[in-house]
Amino acid sequence: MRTLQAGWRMGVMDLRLAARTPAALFFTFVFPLVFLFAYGAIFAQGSPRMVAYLFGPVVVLQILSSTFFGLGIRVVAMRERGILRRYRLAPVGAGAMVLGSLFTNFLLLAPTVVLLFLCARLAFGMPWPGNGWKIAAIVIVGDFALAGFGLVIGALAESMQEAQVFSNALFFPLLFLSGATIPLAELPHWLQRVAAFLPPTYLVSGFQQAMLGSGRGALPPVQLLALVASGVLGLLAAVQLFRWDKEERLPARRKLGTLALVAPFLLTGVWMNAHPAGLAAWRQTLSVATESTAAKQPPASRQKAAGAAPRHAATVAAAAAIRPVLVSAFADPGGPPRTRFGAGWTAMTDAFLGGNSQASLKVIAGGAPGSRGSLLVTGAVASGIAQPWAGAAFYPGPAPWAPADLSAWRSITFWARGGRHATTYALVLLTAQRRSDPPVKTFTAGPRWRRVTISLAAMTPYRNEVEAVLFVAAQPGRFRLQLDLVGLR
Amino acid sequence: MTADDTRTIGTAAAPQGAGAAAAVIVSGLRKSYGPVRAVNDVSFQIQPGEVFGLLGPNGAGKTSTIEVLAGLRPADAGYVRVCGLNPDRDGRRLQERIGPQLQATMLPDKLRVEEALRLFAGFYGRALPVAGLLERFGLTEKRRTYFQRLSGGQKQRLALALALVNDPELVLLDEPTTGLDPRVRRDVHALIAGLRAERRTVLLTTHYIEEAERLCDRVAVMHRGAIVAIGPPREVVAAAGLASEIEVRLARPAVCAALAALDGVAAAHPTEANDGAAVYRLRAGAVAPAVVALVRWLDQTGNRLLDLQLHQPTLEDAFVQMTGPDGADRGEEGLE
Repeated sequence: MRTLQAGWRMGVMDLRLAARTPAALFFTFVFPLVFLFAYGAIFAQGSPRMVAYLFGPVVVLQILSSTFFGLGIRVVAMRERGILRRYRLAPVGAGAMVLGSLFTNFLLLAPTVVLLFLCARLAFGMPWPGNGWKIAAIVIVGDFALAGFGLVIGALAESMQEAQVFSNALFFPLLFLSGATIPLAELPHWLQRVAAFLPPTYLVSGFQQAMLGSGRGALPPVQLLALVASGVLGLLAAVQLFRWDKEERLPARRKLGTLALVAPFLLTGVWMNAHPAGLAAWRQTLSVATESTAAKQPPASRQKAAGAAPRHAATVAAAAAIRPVLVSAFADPGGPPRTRFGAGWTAMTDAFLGGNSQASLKVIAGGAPGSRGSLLVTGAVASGIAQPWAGAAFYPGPAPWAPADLSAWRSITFWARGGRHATTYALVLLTAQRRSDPPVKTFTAGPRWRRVTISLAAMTPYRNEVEAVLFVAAQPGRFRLQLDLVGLR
Repeated sequence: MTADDTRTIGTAAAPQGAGAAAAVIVSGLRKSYGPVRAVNDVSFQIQPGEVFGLLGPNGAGKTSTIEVLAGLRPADAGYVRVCGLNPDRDGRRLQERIGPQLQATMLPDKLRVEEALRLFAGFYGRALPVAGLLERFGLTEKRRTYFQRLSGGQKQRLALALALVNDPELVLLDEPTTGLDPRVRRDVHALIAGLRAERRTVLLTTHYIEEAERLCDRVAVMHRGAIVAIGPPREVVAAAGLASEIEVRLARPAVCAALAALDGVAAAHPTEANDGAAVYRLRAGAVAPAVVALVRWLDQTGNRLLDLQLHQPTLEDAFVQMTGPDGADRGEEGLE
């Protein structure tokens, strides 16, 4: 109780001191705003959903810099200047000192997050978070976990220079690999596996999921546990190793002991790599942020959208020329099937060729591992023409039937699940050149979700003018096909 | 031996005659840093209301001693009680009852004077009113000033005010005037004298002899980790066995042997005076009889006394004699 009280007093005093220090105010309030506006203008290009996606990274960046450079380096500075020597003489223990700096850190972070939120909302029209409580919890837990790291750096460093080196050595890799700068879904696969070991990764992905309302857990219990555990361990280590005087030295053995701090994340990283659903969620979150609903817009705005769409598709194609792109994650059960680009999804059958088959589309809850929803295609293939078929079609072009240049990608990937018995389905590419005899590639789908990859390059030389991509059943009778995480590589 | 004495070895038992009332009891205290013995078998007691000075050159072990008393460092061996508490075990309770000021006090640059006092007052179970402390230490006008804008003297007054914030029974002052200019030093002396007037127990370390002489009821001279003399400043000087010097200027030259033979005079030497006058220096064990004998002898020989100056030995003389000529500049500050 005394410790809490003394810690609170220290925290309030620190807050006053920060308010009197222009540099502290700049890094607390202005610096994160600079990032918010830079991210919002450059990466999101004003798209509110994309700003919501980037909001997490901005907050995590602020948590990282305030814990590593705020907490860690400040305690070393106070020790070097001999300020801690005076506190030591009063009945304030190391616990109160550590708690005090934690209070300060948090009391500065909370208004920053609110300020960032208000600016994002006013300047970019960022939507309300899917779950505000989850956001608050993630900020608190994340700050707590990383504060542990910052405080331990402060306890270990013998000098300001050493503290700077330690902080920088951790700060930059964490910044670049955790999704705080480069979206997690766009990291190379092996780097994604590395990112699964880094605590800020959980914060970034959890934050994004909570902002966009994608994914069920936001912060899976394993990650939550790892964050809390490392925060507690870090705090205990910081209290244990607290030094009041720069003349005091720590034995190397005790310093090495702090490596135990990374144990929770090693375990979590291994666990996450063994359960790739978590990694798949990163892709889905990004797709939710970038999906367009052009295909389902009412006709009045359709025209406008069609006008805007080519530019949009071209931009995406150019930007994505070298990287995989997720076309649809169907993360919005009950809503329309959104796509990241192209003119959207539609049900399609042999009816326009004179057949009698039927098909309908619906986005339902549940999908590939870690995914929130999927596209359900149901219908019946009825004999009527020589080769009956029914299924779902995706228009990759700016408008239905407008040819799209897909030559940047070699293959199409998707997750598929069929009825109770494994059945053969077909992927059909309709191109402007070969409408009568389109290239077809079959795949099977059974009761379990499986991932299918089909080489577009092998199917057709005309990848530059694809009008539609069909996922169809061709065996007479009723069918039930679920599609999810459709992407191009 | 009681259970809480397990840390202590050797002369661990409470010393004979250690009154429970003593504010500080130190017996057989040892403290080493690696191979260096900073404090070697130090014993002393401080009575309530006493101003006690630890005197010694840099590296003598003063700071190490005071740090053990304040509970900042564990003793290697010995019996230590401060306000009846063992600093090693009851550090927290002890901190409530002592008012420390250890060497240069540093505070955050942008902390205001009054805020510093309020902050520290809040750490303690009981505290003196901040307004009173500001008034007493002449800081009322500066109460809204940042720490970084205070002068050296103001910083030191604030440090003293902080040491008093918890109304302590024992005030520990480690070199309270080092690095201050003479006028400010006098200010601080007046404040310490004020503590004495309040009957607070004060332990101060210093290497300014005149400070110890002026402020302390008793002093202990430390040298190379050990106490070489202890007692009221006068007694410490007397114990050093130093003689007083009487410098006389006579109307006519005299024979040194005759002067040396006078009652109470141990030795006599002529000194060079630029005007060729007869000036002699007499070393006297006891000043009064020597002066009486000198006056009689002058009457008998028809000589006249033109001038007389008395040089009584100071604590500084005793200090230099006890710590050796190298004492003052042995730089072992790092050990403290």
